[in-house]
Amino acid sequence: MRFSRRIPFSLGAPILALVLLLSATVSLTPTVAAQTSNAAAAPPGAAIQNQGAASPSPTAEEAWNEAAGALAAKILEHMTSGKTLALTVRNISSLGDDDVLKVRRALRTQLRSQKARLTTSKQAKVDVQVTLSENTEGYLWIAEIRDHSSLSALGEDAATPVVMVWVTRASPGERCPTSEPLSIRKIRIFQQSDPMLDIALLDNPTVGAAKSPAPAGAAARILVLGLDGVSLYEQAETPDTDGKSVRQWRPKQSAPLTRLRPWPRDARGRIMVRPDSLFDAYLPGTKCTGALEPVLTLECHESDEPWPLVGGEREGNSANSGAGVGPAGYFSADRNFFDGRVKLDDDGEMKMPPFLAAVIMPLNAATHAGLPTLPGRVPPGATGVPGWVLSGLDGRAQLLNSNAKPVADIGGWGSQIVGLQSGCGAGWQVLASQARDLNEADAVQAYEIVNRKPVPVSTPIEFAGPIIELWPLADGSEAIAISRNLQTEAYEAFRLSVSCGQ
Amino acid sequence: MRHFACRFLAVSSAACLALAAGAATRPRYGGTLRVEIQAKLSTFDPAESLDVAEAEAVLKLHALIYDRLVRLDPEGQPQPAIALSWEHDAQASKWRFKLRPGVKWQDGAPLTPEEVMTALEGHVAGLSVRLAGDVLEVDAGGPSPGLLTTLATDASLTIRRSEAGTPPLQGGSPGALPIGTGPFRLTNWESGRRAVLQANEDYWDGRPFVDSIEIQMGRASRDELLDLELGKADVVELDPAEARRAQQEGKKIWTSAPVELLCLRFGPNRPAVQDRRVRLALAESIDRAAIQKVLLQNYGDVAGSIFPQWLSGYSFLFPTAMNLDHARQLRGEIGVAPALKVGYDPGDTLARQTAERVAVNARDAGITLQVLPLPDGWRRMPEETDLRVERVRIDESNLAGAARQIVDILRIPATAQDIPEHAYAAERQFVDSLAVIPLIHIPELLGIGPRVMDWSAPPWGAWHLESVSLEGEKP
Repeated sequence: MRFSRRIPFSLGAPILALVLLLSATVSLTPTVAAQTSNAAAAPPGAAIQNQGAASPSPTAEEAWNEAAGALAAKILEHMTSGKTLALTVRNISSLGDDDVLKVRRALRTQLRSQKARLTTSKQAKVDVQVTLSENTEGYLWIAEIRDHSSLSALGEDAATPVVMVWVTRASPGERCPTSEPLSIRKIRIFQQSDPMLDIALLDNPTVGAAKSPAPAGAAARILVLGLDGVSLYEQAETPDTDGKSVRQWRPKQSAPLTRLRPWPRDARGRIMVRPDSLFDAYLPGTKCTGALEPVLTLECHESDEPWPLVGGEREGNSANSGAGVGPAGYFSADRNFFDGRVKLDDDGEMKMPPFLAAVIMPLNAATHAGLPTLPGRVPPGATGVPGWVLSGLDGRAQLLNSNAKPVADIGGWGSQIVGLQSGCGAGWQVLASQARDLNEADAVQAYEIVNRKPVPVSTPIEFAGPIIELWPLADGSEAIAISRNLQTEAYEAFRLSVSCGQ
Repeated sequence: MRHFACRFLAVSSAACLALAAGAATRPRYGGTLRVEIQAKLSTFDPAESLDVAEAEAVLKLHALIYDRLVRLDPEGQPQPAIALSWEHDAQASKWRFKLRPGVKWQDGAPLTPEEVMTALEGHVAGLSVRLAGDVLEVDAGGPSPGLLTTLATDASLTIRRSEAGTPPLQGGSPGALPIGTGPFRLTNWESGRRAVLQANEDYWDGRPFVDSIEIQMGRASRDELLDLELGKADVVELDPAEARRAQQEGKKIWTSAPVELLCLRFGPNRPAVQDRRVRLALAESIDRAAIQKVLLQNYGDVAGSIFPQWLSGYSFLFPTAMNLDHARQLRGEIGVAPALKVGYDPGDTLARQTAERVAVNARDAGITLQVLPLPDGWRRMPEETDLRVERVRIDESNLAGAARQIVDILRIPATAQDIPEHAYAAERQFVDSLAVIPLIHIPELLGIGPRVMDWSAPPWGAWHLESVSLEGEKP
């Protein structure tokens, strides 16, 4: 039997009390770090900004300069004034080469500004080796100071002075601008550190296609559905530290969401805006109705009202908001899937296998897919929908005909699918995530269904993490993708569309 | 910290083989997750465990069954659990925790604020707890900036029913099983053999994806690997040799950050090792790199320090290279050739192999080491050997927590960990005292079966089985 030891718990309490007085932990660290680099830490809310920010952010560089100054001062405390020093910098942290160069430059600048005499290694009286290290709480820059005259006087065993500074690790969230492949256009419109279930675009943000831009003088706005509420953000231009104008999302209002019941672990939700400044939020076993004016409000009640499966602004008031907006699926309140019952526009109901996502095929796509269509009349029991694509619970997708009968299996897709009217190629494509684990980066690829088989028509477009949701936008030509960035842990919302240019 | 965690996970992933494709992103509900562990759990109380590897396994079980006021995210940051939110005064001495409403015990009864208070009060010296409505007020008696981490990690600070649990389990007799508010409920307990947990349907943070977890205890690493290969197990603990073999065969291997220190510890009262030169000669004779490469199959890191690099950031400052010339020189200064006894736990293969390897190295320096298995119950006996091979668990999420964890075990002085030079100086002083010779920082190694989806664990090795789903299961 192994004998790995941990602190005996009977003794733990008194020791703990002692150590609590002496030691600081994560809670204290930001304060301590701030002594040397108070600008480096990005607060969670600071992640909300548009894509394309500079790399690294000016605040990170400022923090590094500050930390370099602190380290330089500590180094010089261990040196007799007037001695020459040679500086070497090595990196064992996650800093990139460019960043290491910046730190090295900052260190040299700070040493010189504090009257140090830098020289080459052969001529130096003192060798200073700086190691850029890190631990769980941030970067740790460590300088080992070897004074040759002390070493010759005291021998090689003389202790080498070591000085260190903490440097708070900046969020790298904005460092990699998104590339845009030829076939699928992907634009990040929002990100936040908290989980995000869905967003609704009230006006077109400037980063998106300018189909319905915000009125002149008005700012673009979005509604963000999270686990704890709905938040309204407004896009505004603000000057950055260089005086340049940058667009940022600014929180305007938020309305808390009271959970009426425990939600599934893989909670899902959908938010739909109506033209009358009202909106609906669909959550597991819960339906919420909100208003944007005069202030953001949200009222929720337990409900098994079906969730809309298509995009588009919803009409009418909250009492009849389910009418006339396309098929809607009943969501299982304590799971992460639709139970298979679908409510149709005519208030009829049909049953299909439980699914994670459903795509409603237009007539042209169903014809292209080789599904029998009967223009001009709807057979008894048919849905009025020419065809369906379902993402099933078994990891496979299915093609269903207008009677919701499975006619073909589709393998190799992930859980998330959405149909888009692009006007390109066959005019309509399915965007499907790829089969991945939640801990892996995902990708989306466009497919057309030809003779009941999926045919890829685009190169996959990569995401920095798993895709959590794909929902169609208003006119069905665009989709919203919610993804969790595995590098930054931020939740990101993208607008996806299919571009005709390959 | 966030960046580090991501980087660490990336490194971990690099050590793993690619996860099998063919499953959709969205987790599925259902199925039984089959876990095999090496420890034989004879008690449900970690403080009662004779074997502390057993205590580690008990703590992992606790995390499935019990909740805490606060928990740590993969980056080590405190997050709400039973406490929805908190605030404290300027000195971080007085804290107020707003309790989450609507939480239920696993038997369906509501969790009351009074029960939360009862579960916590009296468990940490210096903390006083009182209730003000649905707000729990904690007075730490002085500045306690690390209180949240303590609440998230201290073994005694879980929310559990006081009247059920431990006594019947210790004897292995049927009776009330522990009740908590966590994601799983313990429904079957066969002491030393098997435990079964069922998903808590009403868990406040969402029902786990798997229906149940079946844990087989006391499985040897070789048998565990065989079961993984035969599809009889989904998650298994592996020793380095089996992990390397599994990895070469294309199995998924998850490695934590190095969470154990393999070290030599000198008996403080043994006359044969009182001469510091003997200890230093032995320390400088050891080829750590060979131990790491051969015995650990290249897993883990050679260690010259107590705390691993990922926790301290400065462990590279401690030398690890062997210096046989200096060891021989010291041996010459001593005069009489030292003959020492080194003990190892007979149940720990790695400890035995390490002791044998160290003995070979020591012989090259002119020191004779007699390798002996320690008797049963050796930890509670007077030291019979001059030194012994030990493993020390260092699996906290930050340096201060790790220092708390081992301050008593190694008698390393507690210092202000927020001042890096002080932390380094204290550790340097302790290592230079040669009470302990650090050898290797060892990670936890798990074999993950192909059915397992969405496996995630923080660098320090805690399991989050509530987030795991099984491929191909239907709800």
